[in-house]
Amino acid sequence: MKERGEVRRGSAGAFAGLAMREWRRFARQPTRAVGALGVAALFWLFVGSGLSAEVAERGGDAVGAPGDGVVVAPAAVGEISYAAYLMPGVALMVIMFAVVVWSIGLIQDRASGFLQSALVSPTPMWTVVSAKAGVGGAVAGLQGALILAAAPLVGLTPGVVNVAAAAGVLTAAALGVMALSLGLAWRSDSVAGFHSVMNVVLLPLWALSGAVFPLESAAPWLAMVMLLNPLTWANEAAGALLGARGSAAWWHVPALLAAVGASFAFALATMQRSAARTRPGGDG
Amino acid sequence: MGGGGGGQRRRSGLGRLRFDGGVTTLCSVSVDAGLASKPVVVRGVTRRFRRSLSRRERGRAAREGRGGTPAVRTALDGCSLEVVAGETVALLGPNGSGKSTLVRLLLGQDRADEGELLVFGEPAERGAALRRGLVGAAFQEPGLDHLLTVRENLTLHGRLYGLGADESDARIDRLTRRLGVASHLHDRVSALSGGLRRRADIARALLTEPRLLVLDEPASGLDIAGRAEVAGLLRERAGVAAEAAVVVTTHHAEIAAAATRIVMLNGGRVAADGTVDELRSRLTGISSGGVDGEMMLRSAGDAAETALAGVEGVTVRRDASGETVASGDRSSLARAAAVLAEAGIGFELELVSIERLYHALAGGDLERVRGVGLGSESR
Repeated sequence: MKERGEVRRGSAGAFAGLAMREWRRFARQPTRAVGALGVAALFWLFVGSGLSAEVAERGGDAVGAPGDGVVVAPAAVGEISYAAYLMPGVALMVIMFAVVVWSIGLIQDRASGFLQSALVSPTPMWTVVSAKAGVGGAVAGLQGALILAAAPLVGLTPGVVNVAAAAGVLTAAALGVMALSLGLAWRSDSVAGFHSVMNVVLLPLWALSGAVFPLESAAPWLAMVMLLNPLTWANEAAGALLGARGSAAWWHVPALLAAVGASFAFALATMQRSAARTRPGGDG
Repeated sequence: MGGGGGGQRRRSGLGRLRFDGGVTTLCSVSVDAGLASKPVVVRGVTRRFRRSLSRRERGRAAREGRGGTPAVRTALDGCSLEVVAGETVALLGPNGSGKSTLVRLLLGQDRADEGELLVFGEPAERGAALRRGLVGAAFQEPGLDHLLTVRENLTLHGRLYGLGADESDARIDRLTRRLGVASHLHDRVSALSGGLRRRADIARALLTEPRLLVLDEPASGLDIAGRAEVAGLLRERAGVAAEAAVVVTTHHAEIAAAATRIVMLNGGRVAADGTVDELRSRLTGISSGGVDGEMMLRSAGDAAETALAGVEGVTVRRDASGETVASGDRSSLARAAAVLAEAGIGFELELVSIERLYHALAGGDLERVRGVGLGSESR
C-alpha cells in the first residue's frame, strides 16, 4: 500500500538524471574544457620543445638514451623526441586539470544546497557518487584523449585501434583520479583548501608517473615509488600503445582497473562516513 | 530514543504495511497510528555539541584546575513541541536558539542526545519519511543547480525520487503554475531573481507531494519584496495539500506572521508557543481580536499607575522591571496618553509586534515576557 505522497525508490532513472545534469553542466561551461586542454597544450609546447633541444644537446645521455633528442630508447620504440615522450603525460595532465575543476563542482554543489537535497532523497549515495565520478571521469578521459589527435605532429603514428585502446586506458585513469579527487573534495570545506590538498596529492602522483622523466633514469628508491603509482601504470600502458614507450607490463592495465575500483571505494566510504557523522552547523 | 507513545503494538514482516488495532507497521518498525498521523512529535529533545579545546584553552583550563574537558554547547535543551496536520508552524528565534539544529534533527541529518523526535510516528534519525517523499525540504540555500533550467532541475528532483516522466511533468506544470514560476520553466536558475528562485525551490520541495514541508530560512538573502513573496506563498499555502503540515524557520517577522502558529525558541527551549494573536494578547494582557499592530503604553515609576487607574478600557499593571504598562485598544490607549500628558508624566507608546516579542527573547528579557503570562515553556 502506498501512502499519499510516497514515492518509489529508483536508481537507474536517478543515475541517468544525475549523469545528464553533469553533462549539461560541462557543456554549458565550455571554458572548463578550454582551460584544461589549453594549459596542458601550452605545457607540452613549451616544455616539450624547450627540453627537446636540451636533451638533444646532451645527446640523450642524461636519460641514458643514444642519439639526438632521444630521451628513452626502448628497443621496441627506437628514437623518439622528448615531445613525443611527453604525450601520454600531457594527456594525463589534461585529465588532472579537468578532474580538479569537476571536483570543485562538488564543493559548489554542497555550498549551493544541491548536494544536500540530493542526499536526503531515496537515491542511494553510491548512485550520486557514481554519476558524478562516472560522467566526470569519462569526460575528463575524453578530454585527455583529444591530445592523442596530435600524435602525428610529434612523429608518432599509432593505429586507430591503438589510439582507441590508449583512450580507454586514459579514461580508466581519469575515472580513478576523479573518484579519488571527489573523496578529497568531500572532506574539503573550501575550494582553496581543496586546491592545497590536490597540489599535495595529485601533482606528485602525476610527476612520479613517468610523465616527465622515464622510470629507467630515476634513482632506485624513486623508481620503486614510481612503480607503485597507478598513474605510472596508465602512463606506461598508454605510452606503449601510442609508441611513446616500450611494451607495458601485462599487469599494468589490470592493476590500474583495481586501483580505479579502490578509488571508488575510497570516495564512497569517505562520503558515507561523513554523512553518518553528526556535526554542528548553521546558526540556530 | 525510545518508541513513541502509548497504544497497542504489534509487529509484522519486513516491508509489509498493515493497519491493525490502531498500529501501523512499516518495514518491521512498530508505529503507533496516533503518532503516525502527527507530522512531528518532539519530546524533551536535547542536543549538545562538543568542541575540542585548542592548545591555549587546554593550558588555561589546566592552570585553572579544570582539566581538558571539551567545551559543550547545548543547542537544544529539553525541547518539546508537536506539529499537527494542516498547520503552518514558524520556528522563530535568535541565532543559536536551536532552530537549525531542530530542522537537522527533523530531517534525520543529526541525532538527539536525549529525548524523542518522531516524524509520522517514526524516529526522525532513520530518515524513512524523508526517503519515502513524505517530507519535502527547502534549505537556506536553494537546492537548485544554477546552470540548469527550472524544468531541468525539477525533472532531476523527480528522478531522484523515482517519479515517472509523465507524473513528474504533470506535477511540475501544476506546481509551477500554482507558485507563479510557470513562465520561467525554461530559464536557467542563474537568471532568476531571489524570490523566483525561492519559489522554484519550494516547487522542488513540493514535487513529491509531501505531508510535511520543512522550509529552513526561506527568506534568507531576500530583499523586502522577496520576503513578501515568500510570506504570501506561506499564507496561501500555495501548492501545499490541505492536510500537509508546514514547518518554517525564520528570523523575519513577516514570514512568522504568515504562519498559523509561532513557536519561539530561545536557548534551545520553547519560550513561547501560540498563534500571533495569542502571543500578542499574552504580552498586552488583552485579546487583540485579530487586529494587527496592537499598542502598549509604558511609563517609568508608579505615578502613571495611579493616574491611569480610572481610565476606561485600559488594563494597568507593573512589569518585572517595575515599569507601569498599560494595554488596551487604540482609542483607550489614546485616552490614557492624554491623561498622562495632562498630568505631565512621561511615557512611551510601543507597537506590540512579533519583532517586539522576538527582541524580548533575543535580548534575554524572558522574565518580562513570562511576567505577563507568555510562554508555554517546556523543559
